[in-house]
Amino acid sequence: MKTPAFNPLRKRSTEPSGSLVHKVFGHLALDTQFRVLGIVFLASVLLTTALMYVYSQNRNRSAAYVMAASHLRPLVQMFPQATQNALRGDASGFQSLSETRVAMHAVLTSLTRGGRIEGVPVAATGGKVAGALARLQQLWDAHDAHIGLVLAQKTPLLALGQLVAEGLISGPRMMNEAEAIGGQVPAVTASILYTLARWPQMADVDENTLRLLRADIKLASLLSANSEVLSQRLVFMQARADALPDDATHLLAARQAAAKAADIDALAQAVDALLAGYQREFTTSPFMLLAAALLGSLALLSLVLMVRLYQRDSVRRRAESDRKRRLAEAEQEATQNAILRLLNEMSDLADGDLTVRATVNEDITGAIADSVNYAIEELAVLVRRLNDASERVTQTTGGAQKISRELLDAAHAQANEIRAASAVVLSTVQSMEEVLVSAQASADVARASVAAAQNGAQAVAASIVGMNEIRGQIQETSKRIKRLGESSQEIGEIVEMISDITEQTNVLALNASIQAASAGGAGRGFSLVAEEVQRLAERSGEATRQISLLVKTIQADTQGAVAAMEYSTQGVVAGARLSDAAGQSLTEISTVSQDLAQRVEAIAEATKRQAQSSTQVATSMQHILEITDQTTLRTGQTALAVSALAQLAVELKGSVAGFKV
Amino acid sequence: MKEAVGVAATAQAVNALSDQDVARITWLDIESGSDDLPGGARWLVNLDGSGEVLPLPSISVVPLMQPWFAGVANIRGTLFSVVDFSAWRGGEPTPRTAQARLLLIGQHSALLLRRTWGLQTGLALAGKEEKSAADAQAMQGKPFATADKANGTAAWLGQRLSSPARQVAPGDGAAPNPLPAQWTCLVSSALLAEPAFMEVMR
Repeated sequence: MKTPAFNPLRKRSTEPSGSLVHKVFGHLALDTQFRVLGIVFLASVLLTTALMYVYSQNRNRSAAYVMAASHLRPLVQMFPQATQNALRGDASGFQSLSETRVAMHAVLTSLTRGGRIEGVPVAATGGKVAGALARLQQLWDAHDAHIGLVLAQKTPLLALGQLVAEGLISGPRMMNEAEAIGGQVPAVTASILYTLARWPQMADVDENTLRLLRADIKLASLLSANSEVLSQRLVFMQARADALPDDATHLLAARQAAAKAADIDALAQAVDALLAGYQREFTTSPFMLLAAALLGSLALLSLVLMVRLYQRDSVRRRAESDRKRRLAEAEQEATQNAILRLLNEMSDLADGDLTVRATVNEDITGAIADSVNYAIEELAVLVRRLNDASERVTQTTGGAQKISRELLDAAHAQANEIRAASAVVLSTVQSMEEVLVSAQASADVARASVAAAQNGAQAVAASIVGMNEIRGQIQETSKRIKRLGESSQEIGEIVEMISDITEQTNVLALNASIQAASAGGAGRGFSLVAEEVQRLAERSGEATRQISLLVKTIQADTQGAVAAMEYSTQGVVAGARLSDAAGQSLTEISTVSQDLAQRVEAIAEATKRQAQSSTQVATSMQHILEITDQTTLRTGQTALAVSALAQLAVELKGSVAGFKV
Repeated sequence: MKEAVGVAATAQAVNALSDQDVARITWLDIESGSDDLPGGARWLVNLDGSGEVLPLPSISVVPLMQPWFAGVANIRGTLFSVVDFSAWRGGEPTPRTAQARLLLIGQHSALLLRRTWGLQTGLALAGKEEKSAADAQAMQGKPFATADKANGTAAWLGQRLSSPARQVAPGDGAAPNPLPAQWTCLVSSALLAEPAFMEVMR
């Protein structure tokens, strides 16, 4: 419907350029045309963008360089003024000179190596302008050396400037004071003031001039000690003059350097040349802009051509699809009629009449009718077979029902047997557990007897140790008793000696009595004493006899005790031997009991394992019983299913009976 | 003979001591031989008539002497003839024990005794009849010239004494000095005058 509106529009719009495009592209395929146009479009756009970028970049850089270089010009112009001020000893002149020098240096460094000037980024200078920049750099280096010389003499120049200023300011007052004092003072003061006034213009200032000035100042201060004003000034001047160096060559050099630093013509020319160079370098040629415009137009043109090409292609495709749809609709109608006819013929078949046949012709339904006829014949065969089969199924299911009833009975019997076996196994397990308990108890008893035997062995060992101690003590005691016997032996010997002495004393006493008796009445007193001595001797002799008797008794007893102790030592040794034997017996008992305990434990362990195995057997039988129960259940279900199957076979036969074969 | 009479007189004097004298005198109590010998085992010597008492020294045996002559002994450079008093009276020889003593009498004579028992005082005269009879029996066959063998007396055989303080219970052997029933006083001068005492040669 829209197609007629499209066609005139296409013809009108594509006529002027389309002819040209057709001449060039007509013989090419559609997608190739698209590709060529796309490439042309992309290339034009890229080139235009590149040209525009170069153009804008050039503009930016040119502006930055020109700005930087334009900073240079006022800096250069500042040098003469600053140098003159510095030479006059003005502190601001030195500061200005130093700052300007630093700023100049910074700008030149930024231009040479790239950097930022007042926040504006500047790239390193290259190309033709580099020559001009190098020349400027060279000039600046020379200039910079001169400025350095001037700055190095800052202190003396400042002092000198103050001196000269003082001369100019206070000169008239000093002259008045000097003339008031009179004498030689006015002449000296005048000389000082003259020298100071002449100083800035003097080209031949040297050491002599300085020395003379100092001498004059010293002389004047000596002479004018009375005048307060004059001496004050002179002391000020003397301090400044003393600050000046003795060697005036540096001052002269600074003065000459200042003269050269003030000469900035060459520098200014170089700056101008650099500026001109920058402007020349970054001026964009008009050809570049023209080329960019042309390329832009080319990109636009190729875009328009691509749109036109797409539109023509889509119109052609729509016409093709319309034609195909009309052909398909006609074929569909013919097929529908043939199918309706076939369905009419097949309507008896739906009622179960398998003797019906469809008409076979050259329509599309002819082949279907042929197939349907074949299917009906096969269906009839099938129905006959179904009848036979359902009868056979009925017979077979009767047999199956009988078998499943027998199976059910057998499963019941099996379950009963398994229950009985299970009960037997469980009772076995129980008796095994009783055996296990008994075995563990007897193992405990055996262990207890091991412990008791060990305790007994320890007690026996302790008693053996005790017996050994007793034996040692008895032997010790025996030794002591023997020593006692020896001692009593010695006592006996001593007693013997005493007995001898007693006898002798006795005899002596007797003799003394006899002598006293022979002396008659004079010896009467002595006789009494002698009698007493004799009686004492007799008593001591008697005591000695008793002692010796006792000693004999002691010795006999001692020997008896020693013998008894030896006997008891033998008894103790025999007892120790017996205890040792008892300890060995106890050790053997312990070993045997340990062995017994181990064996009983082994029995217990074996019984435990056996009980576990039997328990597993019982569990397995339980599983078997469950399985048997399930089998019984399933067998019942099978019998039911077989009955249902027989029923189904009857029903199948009934349903097939409706067909007419 | 005259001398012998003198000796007998002295013996008689000794034998005639009164009870009062006896109680005052201090006696040396000696033991020799056994009770069946003449004078018995226990003797008393008046201190006036006795010499020194010595422990047994070494005695040199003299050959061809009477058995009762024990030998001679050197006592501080003086020779003494030692007579075994028990053997002389016809008894056993005196055992040479630690208790044996020599009793010096006269100038060169000594008696060998079994032991000395010390001094005795405060004694009294005892009856002598039964003892004398025993002595008379003991003296038969002995060569004692001064002895009256019928009456059982001799010149050297003095009076019998006993201890009034004697209270020794029979069987009590623990007493240091077992006091006898009787002592016989030895008259040493009479003994020295006895001719049998001098017949030492065999």
